[in-house]
Amino acid sequence: MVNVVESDQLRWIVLLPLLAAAYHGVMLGIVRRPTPRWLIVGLSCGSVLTSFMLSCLAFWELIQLPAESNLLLDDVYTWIGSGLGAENLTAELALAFDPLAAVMCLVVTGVGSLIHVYSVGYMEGDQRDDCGFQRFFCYLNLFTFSMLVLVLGDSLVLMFLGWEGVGLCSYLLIGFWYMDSHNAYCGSKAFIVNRVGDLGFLVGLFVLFGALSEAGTPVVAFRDIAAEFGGIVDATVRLPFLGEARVVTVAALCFFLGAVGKSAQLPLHVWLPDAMAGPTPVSALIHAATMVTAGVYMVCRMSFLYAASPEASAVVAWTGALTALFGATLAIVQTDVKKVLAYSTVSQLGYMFLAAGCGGFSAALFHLGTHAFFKALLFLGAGSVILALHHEQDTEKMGGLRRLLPVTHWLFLVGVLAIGGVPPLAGFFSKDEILVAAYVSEVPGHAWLYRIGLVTAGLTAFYMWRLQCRMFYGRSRVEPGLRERVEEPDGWMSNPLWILASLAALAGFVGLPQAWGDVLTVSDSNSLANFVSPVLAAGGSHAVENGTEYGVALRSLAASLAGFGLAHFFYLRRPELPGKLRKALPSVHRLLVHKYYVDELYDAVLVRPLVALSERVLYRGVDAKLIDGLGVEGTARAVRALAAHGLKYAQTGFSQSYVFLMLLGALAVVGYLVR
Amino acid sequence: MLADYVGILVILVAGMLLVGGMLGAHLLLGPKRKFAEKDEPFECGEKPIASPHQRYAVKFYLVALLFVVFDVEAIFFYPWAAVFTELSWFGYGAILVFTLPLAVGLVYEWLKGGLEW
Amino acid sequence: MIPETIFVAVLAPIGFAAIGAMLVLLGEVLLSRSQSFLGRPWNARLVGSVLAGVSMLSLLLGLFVSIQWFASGDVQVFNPAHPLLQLDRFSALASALIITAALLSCALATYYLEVVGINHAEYYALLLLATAGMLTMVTAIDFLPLFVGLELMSIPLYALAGFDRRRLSSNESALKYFLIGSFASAVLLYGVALLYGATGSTSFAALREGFDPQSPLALTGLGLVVVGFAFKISAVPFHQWAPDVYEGAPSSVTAYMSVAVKATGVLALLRLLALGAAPLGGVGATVLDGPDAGLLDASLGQVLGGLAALSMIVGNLMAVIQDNVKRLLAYSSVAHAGYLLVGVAAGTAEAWSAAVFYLIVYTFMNLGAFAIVVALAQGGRDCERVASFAGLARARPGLAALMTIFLLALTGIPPTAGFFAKFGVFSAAVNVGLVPLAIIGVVMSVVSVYAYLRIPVLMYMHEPEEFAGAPAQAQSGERFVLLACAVAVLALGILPNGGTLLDFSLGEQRFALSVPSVLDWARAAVAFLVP
Repeated sequence: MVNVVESDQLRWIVLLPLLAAAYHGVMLGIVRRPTPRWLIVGLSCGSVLTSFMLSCLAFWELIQLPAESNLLLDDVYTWIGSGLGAENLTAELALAFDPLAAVMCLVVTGVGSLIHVYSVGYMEGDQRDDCGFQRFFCYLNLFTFSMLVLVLGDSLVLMFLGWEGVGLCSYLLIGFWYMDSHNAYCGSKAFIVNRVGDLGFLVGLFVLFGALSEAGTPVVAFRDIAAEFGGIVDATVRLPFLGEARVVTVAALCFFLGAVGKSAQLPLHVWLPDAMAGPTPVSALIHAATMVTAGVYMVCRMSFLYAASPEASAVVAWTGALTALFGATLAIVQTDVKKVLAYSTVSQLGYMFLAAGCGGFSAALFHLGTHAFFKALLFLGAGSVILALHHEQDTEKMGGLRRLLPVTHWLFLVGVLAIGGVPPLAGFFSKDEILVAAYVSEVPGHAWLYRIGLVTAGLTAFYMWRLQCRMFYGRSRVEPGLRERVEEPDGWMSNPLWILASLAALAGFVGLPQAWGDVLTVSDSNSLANFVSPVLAAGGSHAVENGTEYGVALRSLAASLAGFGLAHFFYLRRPELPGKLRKALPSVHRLLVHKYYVDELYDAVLVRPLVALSERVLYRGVDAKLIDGLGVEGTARAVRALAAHGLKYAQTGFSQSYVFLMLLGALAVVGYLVR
Repeated sequence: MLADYVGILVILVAGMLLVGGMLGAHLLLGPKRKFAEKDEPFECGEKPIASPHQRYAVKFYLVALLFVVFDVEAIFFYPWAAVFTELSWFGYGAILVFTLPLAVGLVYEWLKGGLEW
Repeated sequence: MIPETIFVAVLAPIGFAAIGAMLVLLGEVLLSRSQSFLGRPWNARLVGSVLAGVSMLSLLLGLFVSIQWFASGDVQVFNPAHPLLQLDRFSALASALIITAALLSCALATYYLEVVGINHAEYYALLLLATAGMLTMVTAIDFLPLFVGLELMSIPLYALAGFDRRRLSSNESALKYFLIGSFASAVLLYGVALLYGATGSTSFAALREGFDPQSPLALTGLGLVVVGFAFKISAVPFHQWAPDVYEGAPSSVTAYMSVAVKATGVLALLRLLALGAAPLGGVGATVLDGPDAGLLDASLGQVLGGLAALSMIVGNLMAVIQDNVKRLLAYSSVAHAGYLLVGVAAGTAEAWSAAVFYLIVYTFMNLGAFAIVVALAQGGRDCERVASFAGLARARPGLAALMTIFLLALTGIPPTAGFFAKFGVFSAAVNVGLVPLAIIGVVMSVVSVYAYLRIPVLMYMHEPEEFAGAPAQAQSGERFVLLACAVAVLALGILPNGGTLLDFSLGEQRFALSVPSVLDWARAAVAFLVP
């Protein structure tokens, strides 16, 4: 049982972005007068930056705590108290800051504030919509608020609130330029696919809460669930068609379905590439660094659940591994820079789930953090390029940009090397941790998981270097008229990039595996794992021998270098080779370009039949005739008719008849009483 | 308990039946011949020359109302006056609480011109 | 003969209201006949504002005393030798609620009266007198002051309903209210007389002692008293006056009537039932078994439950077909009388606390909705057609947003207070086994969505009518009322149990925004009645 330390500062971390968003909302919706730009920027960036500083303070407070307590709690108020009829449920509106939440909170507010600052530069020239600038920051702040609720909420209910909130903001931001109907379509797609996952989350919540209630401990706060968890480990639940199953497994799988939706894993990954329709800072913040990692965070948060269910863990690990491979292969053939990064995100998220499934929750969290840095760096770097080229995203029309954008080139290079796994940059260590976790785990087929991970590492290096080559090296394919007007971005945009680049380069050292610590003679070198391990379930992670660690690291380094080398050979030395290869293997290429036909599959199997069903049967038949005609409108009409043709005639307007009815009523009352 | 009242119930029912029956029989059996003159208020051949409802000037009501108010006040004063010495200052205070609102009302009435004929 | 001790403080809330009324009356005649120091006659507007200030000041004093009394928790009878009026936790909270409603109504009226062209200061005097009557009703522990209070409340209200005397519908409203109201008063008085005959006394305590649940005389008396109260809170089938009266009366009067009279009726009924009729029992089979049973006699509970069901059904159904906002809100108030009666009928301390909480919430949400109607009046006319709300969101986004909040609250949708209020009443009903009532309530709440949400749909999704000019701008008094009601409705919805928000220290100084638990107030008040 952890000792809880009260801290009433936490609420400000969450509230400040909300207040800024509310201000923007009021100005946009009700006051409708233009707000000066400096005020918008000051409020939005200021609130998120202040949140970040408060998070740092809270973090400082947390690590100062004595060893036996590792949780700061801010109990804002009792939201649903006993006495309002709900005797068996007490929901506190409370924020909890434990090591897990601390890491996540620092990432969200830290990367978030950098991206807020970057957005000032990025959205500067956006004139598509007269109040777009403020609307953008309103959504962005609202997103930060929701994400912080998700991270800091101390109960499943609050987490779900944040979970839905980020989904909404994601939808709003993907469709930010809603005048283009394709963007709106992409927003809807993201929202709808996410709903499938949310359903899983909700069902999981109900299953878990039901089991806990049956065990006599109806709690929703994470630390209470973890404490009472022992009571339901062996409980079973009867499922339709499937028979008895362990509650733990069912709940874990349902929650994982939620994570699959939110974190774009197979088979619900389809929305993420389309989500790139939003402005690039949004892609960086929501669809790379923070929101999509919410699924990983949730699995880590519920780690005790997964640790207790090997079946669910295996599903998580295999889904993650397959998604990692799948995403990496698709990234190879994309030509749109943001699409490449999107599939890369899908693949890296798969990595994190692979780690979580193998019991390496701290490895997953580590990769989550480093990925947030280098992927945000890559997206923002790509954003700088895109803006410099006047919203050109196709790498076919780039090339040779090193000379035009030297600073951006160097910054982007750091990101590419980091994600590619070149030591000592951050990606190397975090990826290594994951591969070690897979190597030593006891998940069925873990040897294959490890191999898939290794191949994916190579593929990652390959497609990232391919991207780098196509954007910055070789012959310039930029349109001649445009070439003269290409400029480096201003300070708003470049300074966050510098910070992110240094983080991407150095962040690996917070989670330096002990094996490397021994080399450098540092004790307890893996400070991140030591920091978060008290709140994570031990899972299947074992003590790893140094030899194994070195071996895994060498092999992963070899895979990365091979990837880099191959890409270099293909795209710089012999640029005609890819074309030949494409001709030689047309079916493979077509398969990859069409993303394994997953979208088409969904379209054929789900979307079109569903649309047809809804259009022909449900809408025209059931909805229009039955539900609308008979149900909704029918009821409404019946209600109206009852009132209009029946009751109305009692209301004659004559006092005499009123009094007469009163008399009858009085007689009835007295008669009933006397009886 | 309620059985004590059965007699009343019987008379009630009998009375209702009697009246209802007679009116009903009249409605059913009586011949109906309708013509315009029959709907007039006076159907004895005279044309009505004025509405039977006479309007009184509102001043009468005002005075009547005031009279009632102060009449009641006077009624309350009598018993108080009868035991004035026993009640002494307490009674004086109590009757003051009673009189004061009426006095305020009188002042209002007066200044508003309610006492002018 | 002379009482040894009397406690004048008990009369303080009533006294402040009554003295305020007299001051306003005198002030009106004196000011309007004298000349200002500038040598010009005072204009009606100035007189109105000054006297509105006087009346609000006297109400504020009364509010202060009530709150003090509630906080101290004292129980004091005016004249212990002859207990008629008693100030205690319950009556103090009731007084505070009624005075708050009156205060907000005064603030609401200041500009409206001028717009409609009835800016006479007598308005405030009548309002204060009615308030004094209400306060008397909720302080009474005897039928005599109860009835005196009832008449003192009703008669000024009859006059207020006809205050716009040049308008025919206002006259009709007043006359109808007067006729039917006198009838209801007579019914109540008849009930009191029968109870006096049965028990030999008019005091609640004596009723409690001497009530014979077998005696038809006593039961008839009790039934007639309940009918009298049902009329005042406009429960079906004693509701039919409400739409006609609410529609005809000036909107600010309707706003006041709809909340204050209902609050008084329910609170005085609770007080009567708890202090006067609590040991009723043994008549018929009791449906309320278990430890919660016994507050109310089963048949009485069933009668109240039946009235509740009828009110919810008829009120909500009829609200659907109205095309006049004031009539719609009138039927809505009938429906809310039903929800309130569900709490009363359930008859446990929990249910009564829920009913009191509901009343507090209802005061703010209904007053808020009427305040919008008042604020939209212009050119001497009310904005009362539902259709005239079309496109309001464009012309007056703030008013439209507030109206939406109030209507959502009336419908009972979270996070507004209306949700928690309904939730409390219904769950209390379910806890004592009154499941059918709760089901009717929930189903009828769904019907009410149809009635209420027509207005937001019109405001947000329709174009304004062509010939309509720009709607009126809310004035400062109206803004204050709207803001207060909106804050209350949202705060009670988000923090029904109270709590501390924004707790931070700045140097030595510690700041905290604490929201009191209104639910706990309601519980504390009911705990006095039902220890």
